[in-house]
Amino acid sequence: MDAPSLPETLSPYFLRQVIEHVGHPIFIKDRSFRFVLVNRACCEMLGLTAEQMIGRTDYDFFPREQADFFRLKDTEMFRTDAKVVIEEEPITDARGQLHVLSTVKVPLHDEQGRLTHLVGIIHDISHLKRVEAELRTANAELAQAQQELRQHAGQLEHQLSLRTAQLRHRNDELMAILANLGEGVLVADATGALVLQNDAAVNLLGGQRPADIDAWSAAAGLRWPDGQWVSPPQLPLRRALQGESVHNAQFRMHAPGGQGDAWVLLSAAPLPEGRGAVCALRDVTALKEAERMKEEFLQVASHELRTPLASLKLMLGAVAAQLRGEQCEALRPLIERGHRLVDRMSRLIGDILDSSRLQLGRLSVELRRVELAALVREAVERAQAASLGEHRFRLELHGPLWVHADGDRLDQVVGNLLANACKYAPAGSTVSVSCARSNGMALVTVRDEGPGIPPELRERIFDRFYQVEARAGRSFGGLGLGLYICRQILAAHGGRIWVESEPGQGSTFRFTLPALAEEG
Amino acid sequence: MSTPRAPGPSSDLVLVVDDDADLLEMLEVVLRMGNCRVVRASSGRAAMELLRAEQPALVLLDLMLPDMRGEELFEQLRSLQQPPPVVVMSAAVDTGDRARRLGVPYLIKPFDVEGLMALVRQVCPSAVAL
Repeated sequence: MDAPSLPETLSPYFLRQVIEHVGHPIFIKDRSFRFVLVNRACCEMLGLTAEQMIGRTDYDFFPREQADFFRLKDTEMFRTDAKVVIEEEPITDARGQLHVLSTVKVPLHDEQGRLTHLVGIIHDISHLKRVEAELRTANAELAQAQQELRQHAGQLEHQLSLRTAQLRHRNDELMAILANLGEGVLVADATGALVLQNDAAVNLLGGQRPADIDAWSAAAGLRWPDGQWVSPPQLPLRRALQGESVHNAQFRMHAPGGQGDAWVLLSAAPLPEGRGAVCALRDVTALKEAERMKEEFLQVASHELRTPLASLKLMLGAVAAQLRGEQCEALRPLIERGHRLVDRMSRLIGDILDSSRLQLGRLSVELRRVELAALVREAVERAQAASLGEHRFRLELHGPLWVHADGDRLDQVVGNLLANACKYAPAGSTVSVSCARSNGMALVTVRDEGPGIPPELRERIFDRFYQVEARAGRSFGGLGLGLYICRQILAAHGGRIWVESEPGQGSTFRFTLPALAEEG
Repeated sequence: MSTPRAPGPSSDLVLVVDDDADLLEMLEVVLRMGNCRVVRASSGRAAMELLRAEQPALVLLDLMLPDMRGEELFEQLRSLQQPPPVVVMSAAVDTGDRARRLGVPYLIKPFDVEGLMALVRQVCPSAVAL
């Protein structure tokens, strides 16, 4: 097959076809700067037809300034007879649209070599410029974003350093507080190693700093109040490592000076996320000693105060025994009153002592089988005798009702409730007392027709030293200990006491304690 | 014992042991009115001294003595040939518990004449209620 061949001389028609269909705008001008040829792309770009352009110059289509520039470049090319490259030139087409062009103007010679025309080949780089512009914008935005990011990072860094400083400050404060705290503080990690021991804790051990919980316990000689050694799993910090909380448990340990024992209260709690446990130690040795001295003083004081009362009571008895006839009629009420005063004084002394023992947790109850109905009956009989007919008593006893109790203490409770009823209820009113089994419990009720107790005071009257009359601006006497003691005594029996009352409607005190099984 | 003693207890004699002079006196007054004879001791030693010569039908014993605890004197009384019955009297809070441990009746101070005489009459046949 023959290789395809081009005609030796291309026909002008053929060349025009090629130029016409080239995608780039192409134009040819003669030496008078008139357009002699424009291709389709050129027409489309400028929004003109070939007919409108052929034979015309730039001044016919473009603003003057632009046409001047084209002419200048055309002139330069014809003068130099060399290619002129215009890297970038903005033009506004006939539709008013702006283009950015890159144009090459090349000299055209005739067969004799004379420079007769120029051909311009245009690259419309508007799109490129737009992309470039967009890219620039994007770059600028990126730069700005980067700058903002840097700023943010800077701010964050600043905040972080500020926060770190605050935390360090806070930590320093806490460490200073810990160091100066009167209570000892121990912190153990999850393995039981002691990671913090403040000054007070170290001083409690006479300057020792054991490495872990067990070593600490051994160095402290930690024992239960009864003197038994504390086994490792029972150590408060060990229990706290197991997730338990220990609050103010009392222990003995070696006194820091080596003389005798110190008493400490230990509280321990787990740290969050299983990071260990913290323990606070309070040396209460001085407090215990003060308590012991107070207890001793109260014992002696009560003994000393009661002894003259004993003489006084015997004296009243002796006098009463000597009264005869009219004298007897006149003086017996006074003597009875004297007995009541002595008894009251004795009760008050007893209350102070009991209250002190309750505070120390030393109120002992001796539990025996006690028949409650008989106990209540005897207490009511005594109260009746003491009231000298001022109050009527109504009794409703469902006995026998056996309980496991300290008879003296229960007698004290019932006597106290009856004395209160007589104290607050008006003369001539009735005190109703009942005793019955209710849901496996023994229930005793003492109801009076006194002024009643407002709702907000129904719990407070059981507080130590609380007196209703202190509020009402009246004085009924007493120390505000009776009901407190009653509640504590019943608590020691596994029972409870409460009051039901409406102001003006009287008060009903009830207490319960576990009843023993009914017997046949 | 070298000191001669009466052959048996005096059925109307009460030994009162307490360190409070007023109480001793009032007990003596009341017990005399109740037809008893009284000997007083204000310490454990004085009480033991008296017991060499006397054989009371009853000892009223305070638990808090200047020279010993009531329990100690009680033990010494126990060691006598014929230990007299004892009634404990005290103002101590644990009087009841302590008396129960000794296994004897007790009076908590202040006690009244009736309670006292009821206990006395259990051992002194000649005693009377006031």
